[in-house]
Amino acid sequence: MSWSEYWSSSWAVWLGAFCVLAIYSYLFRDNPVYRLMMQIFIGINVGYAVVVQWKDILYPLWWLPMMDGIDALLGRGQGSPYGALWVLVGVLGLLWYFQLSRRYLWLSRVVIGITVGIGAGFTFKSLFGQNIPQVVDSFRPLGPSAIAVQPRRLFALPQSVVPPLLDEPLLVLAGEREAVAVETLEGREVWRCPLPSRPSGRVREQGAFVEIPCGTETVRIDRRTGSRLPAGAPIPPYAAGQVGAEAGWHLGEGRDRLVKAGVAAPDGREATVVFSVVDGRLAASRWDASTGGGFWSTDPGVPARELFDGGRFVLAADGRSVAVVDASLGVVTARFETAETPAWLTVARMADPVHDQATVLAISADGTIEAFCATDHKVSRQPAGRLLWKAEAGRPLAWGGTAGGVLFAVGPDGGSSYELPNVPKALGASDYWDNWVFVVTLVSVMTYFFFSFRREPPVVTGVRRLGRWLLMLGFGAFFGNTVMSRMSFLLDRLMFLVDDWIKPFFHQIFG
Amino acid sequence: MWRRLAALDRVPRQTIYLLMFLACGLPFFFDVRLPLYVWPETRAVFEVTDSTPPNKVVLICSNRVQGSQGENWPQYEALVSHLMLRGIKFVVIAVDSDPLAPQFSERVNERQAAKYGRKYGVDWVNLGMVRGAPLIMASIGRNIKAVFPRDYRGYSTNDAQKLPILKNITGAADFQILWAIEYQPSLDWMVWLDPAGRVPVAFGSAGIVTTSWYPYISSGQMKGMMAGIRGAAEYETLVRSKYGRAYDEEGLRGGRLLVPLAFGHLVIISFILLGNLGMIAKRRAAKEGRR
Repeated sequence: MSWSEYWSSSWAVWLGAFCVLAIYSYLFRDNPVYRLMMQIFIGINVGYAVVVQWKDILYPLWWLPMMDGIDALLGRGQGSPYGALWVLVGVLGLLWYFQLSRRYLWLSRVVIGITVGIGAGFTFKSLFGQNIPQVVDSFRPLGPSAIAVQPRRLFALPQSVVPPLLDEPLLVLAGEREAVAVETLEGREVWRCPLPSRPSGRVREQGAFVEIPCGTETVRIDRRTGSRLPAGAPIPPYAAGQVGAEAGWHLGEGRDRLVKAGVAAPDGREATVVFSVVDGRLAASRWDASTGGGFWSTDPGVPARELFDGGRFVLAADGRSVAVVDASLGVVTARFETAETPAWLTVARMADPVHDQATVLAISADGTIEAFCATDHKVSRQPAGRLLWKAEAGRPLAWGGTAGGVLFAVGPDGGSSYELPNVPKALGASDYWDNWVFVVTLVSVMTYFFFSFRREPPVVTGVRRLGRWLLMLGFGAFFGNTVMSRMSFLLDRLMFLVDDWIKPFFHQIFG
Repeated sequence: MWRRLAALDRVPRQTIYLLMFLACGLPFFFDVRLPLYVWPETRAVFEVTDSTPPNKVVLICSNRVQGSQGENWPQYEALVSHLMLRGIKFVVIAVDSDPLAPQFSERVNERQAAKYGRKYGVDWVNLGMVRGAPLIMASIGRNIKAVFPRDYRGYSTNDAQKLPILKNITGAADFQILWAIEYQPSLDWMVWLDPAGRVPVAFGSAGIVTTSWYPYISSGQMKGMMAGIRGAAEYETLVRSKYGRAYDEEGLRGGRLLVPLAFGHLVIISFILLGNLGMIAKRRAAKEGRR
């Protein structure tokens, strides 16, 4: 590059470097060059900001809508005449300038009052939103808890002799002689419909209807009103055409086959997949075998006699042994033993997204409900397969389903809904240490501020002194960060001087 | 001996500044890298950002201007380079900032986009600046296109041909994470953007204010942060360790600035120790003089 080319492309860098060095010359001592550059910078910054403020903010966001509104008001434009109301914003803004007049100072107080009022309202909400979670979080255990978390019972549910239909906001249960629909939020009964005989299969959804197989007949009920409709054709144990509409079918009597719609296949597409046990191995294959073969085959580690739908998991059980298998990948994520043989297994869906980590709920015929980790829980640091909590329903149960952090567990004698507890965090020694440091710091620093009498007990003196030390430690950390920030500004400019100024210049000289 | 050491109490400030300039400036001439331990608060936000699904966008509120670019520039560049590398779609806004903020952001966006062949309107969009926090944060969470009818380049945010990135984007439910990058980001983001707290919030801030964020990270109100230059260097390390050679580090600043920063800290710590030694020596010398 010739020198003329170099200067034509680098004059701005040289100017920048001169300005930076002129400002830093203050570190040596105050001097006229530094003062001149400082004034120039302030002037340029303010001037540039004024132009940008008008060009990017006031002109497009205030002036144009206002002028469009005025034009529309005068019948000259197509915009909304309400845009003319932006004039008021300008007038209110101009009231600030009455600060300069003693006689009309009160006018500026109008706009100050509005601004302070709005600000106070926002601050009120912000402070609560920011600090209430802080207060709640400050209640932390100082040692291992002796009380395990438990689900909270919400409301009672009527009996269901077959698996009910949970389709928010309705839960449709089929008893010995009648079907009952309750809403899932508070358990209020929505409708009742008598049944001709004891239900023989699970309650199913068919668009606007609910269908319940009762022997050879299929009872069809209006989903909204509960009124009985003309009977439909008997529902076969499984029907290919209906699989897409309803996921999680157990095929046959033995529950050893499961059909799930919407499973993420290895090719990235969603597919309807049949999970079945072949020679002790759990295998997944496409429902429509003509369009593709098997996806995966895995050894679940337990003789899978029963399969359950667990959302993105398949739950394989044999007696009290349970294996959790990722439905898409076929990977066994957890194995565990329940206290009693589960009648139903499901994976909880939590209301709180922070705690929405896969948790298997095992519902036993004697009324025991147990919760296990389906995978390693990163947030709560609980390992896969760990028992999180155990509760007793006090009556036989046959089915369980969850929605929004609530478990609905029912059996032939009725059931209940339970608010599921968030997964408790597994605390280590360092967590308890942190919590103790917090409490000791809080107490000692408060003691330092509250007790400063000349004569006080030795304990208070010691705690007060500790508080002062801890305060200093806190200030030290703050100071360290301050140094890092200040030095970052220097580094940014040094990087400019070296990379953009000195190195290219040396390169120009020495080639 | 004490009298000689007492001279350390009176080191001229020009000497300190000169040594500081040398300690911070010389490392720029050499390609030196320091081993880095990545803190959990940086790793947490990297993982959330890295796992952005195709139907969501990363929302970045970048109020970075000349006054804070020492730390915010490396942070913003590290984040944008990661997003461009992965092809994660992102939306840049500025709220209640200096009007120059969108211009500063766009310069980095274009440089990183050129590296990875990304396209404006498809892979990212810059919606410019808006005033009115905290109320405007709630409006952004409800309907971002109503708050920004036009982007920074003047295209309508409802124009799906020019800005296909915004076609299915409405509000908080479509944001994978909010990154607020400025000297001191506003805590109001945690309260107003999504009152239900479903959108994770991450800050990229000046080191001086990072100690203030730990209680919010601990309570789960914030997902994590990039703390000063160190945070930017950690983020770059995470991207490099995951994507290897595909990650083009040309122009990234975090890792490069970390070395002079460490030397600068050494100079400061040395002078704190020497200054204290000088003060003690001065007292001892005075005591000896009285005897």
